Amino acid sequence: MAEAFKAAVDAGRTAYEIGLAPKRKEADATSPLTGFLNE
Amino acid sequence: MSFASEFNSLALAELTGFAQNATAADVEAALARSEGVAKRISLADFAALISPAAARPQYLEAMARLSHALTLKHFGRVIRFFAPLYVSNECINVCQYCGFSRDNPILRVTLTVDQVVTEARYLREQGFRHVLLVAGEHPHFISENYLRECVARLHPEWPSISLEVGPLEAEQYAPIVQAGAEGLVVYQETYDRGVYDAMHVSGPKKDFDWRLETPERAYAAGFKRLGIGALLGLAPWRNEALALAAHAAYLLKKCWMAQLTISAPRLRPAAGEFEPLVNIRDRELVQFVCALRIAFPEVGLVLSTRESAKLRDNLVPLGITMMSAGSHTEPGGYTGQGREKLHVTKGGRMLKPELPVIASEGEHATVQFEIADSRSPSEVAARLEQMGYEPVWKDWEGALNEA
Repeated sequence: MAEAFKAAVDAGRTAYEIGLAPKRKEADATSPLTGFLNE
Repeated sequence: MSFASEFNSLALAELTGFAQNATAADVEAALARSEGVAKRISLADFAALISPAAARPQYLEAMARLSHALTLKHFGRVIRFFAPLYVSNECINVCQYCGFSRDNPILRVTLTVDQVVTEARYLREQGFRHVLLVAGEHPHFISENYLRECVARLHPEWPSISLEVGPLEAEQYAPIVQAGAEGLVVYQETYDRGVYDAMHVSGPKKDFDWRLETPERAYAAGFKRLGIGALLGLAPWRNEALALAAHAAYLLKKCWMAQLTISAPRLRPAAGEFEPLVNIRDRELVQFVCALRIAFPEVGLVLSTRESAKLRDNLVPLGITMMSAGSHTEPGGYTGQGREKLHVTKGGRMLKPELPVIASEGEHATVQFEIADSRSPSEVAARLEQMGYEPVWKDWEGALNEA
């Protein structure tokens, strides 16, 4: 259980540090459709 | 005026020059004109979209998104499935790039109509309801009567039958249409007259204009689906793309009652070991597919098993609407039909195979080319479903052919 709590705290802290995504007028796919060309 | 006449008056040199030298501003202008406009974009805008400038990551991604949105709007999340069924690998033509080329010492066979039916039933068990009958060009072995009989026998069990065979006269096509065929596919291979002449050494295929006008003859005979394409690897792909786009635009106007599909297959290894004269990279193929979709939002785009599983999966959201799966490119490839009649052909005569012959693995006829995606139809269908797409095995009913 302690490990689960630790993971939850880490997840929350990481999310807080990353912050909110910037606002955009248009939707922006998180995975570009042509991203596979760079793999 | 036929497309052959119109083709001669196209300013292709000017357009290909623009396709090479378009600027970022030209690409942005073409993209702006492509969005939210009901009118078809011009060939000049198409040229800008296939230019090196448009291959920059930010423009290619913008094209991919537009292409994706247009495909969803016009087709939804569906992929039409079809299976090629090779009925013969006999051929009278000498074509430098083709495994079936007349002088290649390969194992050949022409399936009997019963054998074609057996192969087709295997494909039906896999789930397919759209079959593409494929053959080399050899009037002695693959006559219009043979093709008509194949179609007539398959028609009760197959809602959709298309053909990819040597070009015929409209009068020769008509009985095949009446027997139940609804689609005809004929690739020009290359739209470059000089390269075409060099690649097609001898045989009826050497006649560039005869082949170029085939879709029009097929339409006159009553075919409801027309497929065109260019074989990538023979001439610079941007030149082929522009000519193909011009051909598509012409057919959409002239043959407006038929559905049009476009394919851009890349050369694959085959008997004869022909090496592509030019290469088209994955990034350029993606650009080509997106440009085609943006220019022709309502046209079906076909992707065969010539491409790898990974690339095929990634091209699906970018505009592809029709795919084959689990394909064999030799007659009898699915069930081993015709293996007792394997032979080599010289001067139109069937001879006992003697070494050295170019044979594919196993005891069957030699393949036209090697495929790159060897997944089974059910595996491809499962992958599409996983991606949120619906594999469509049947979208046509034979009775509609009489409508």
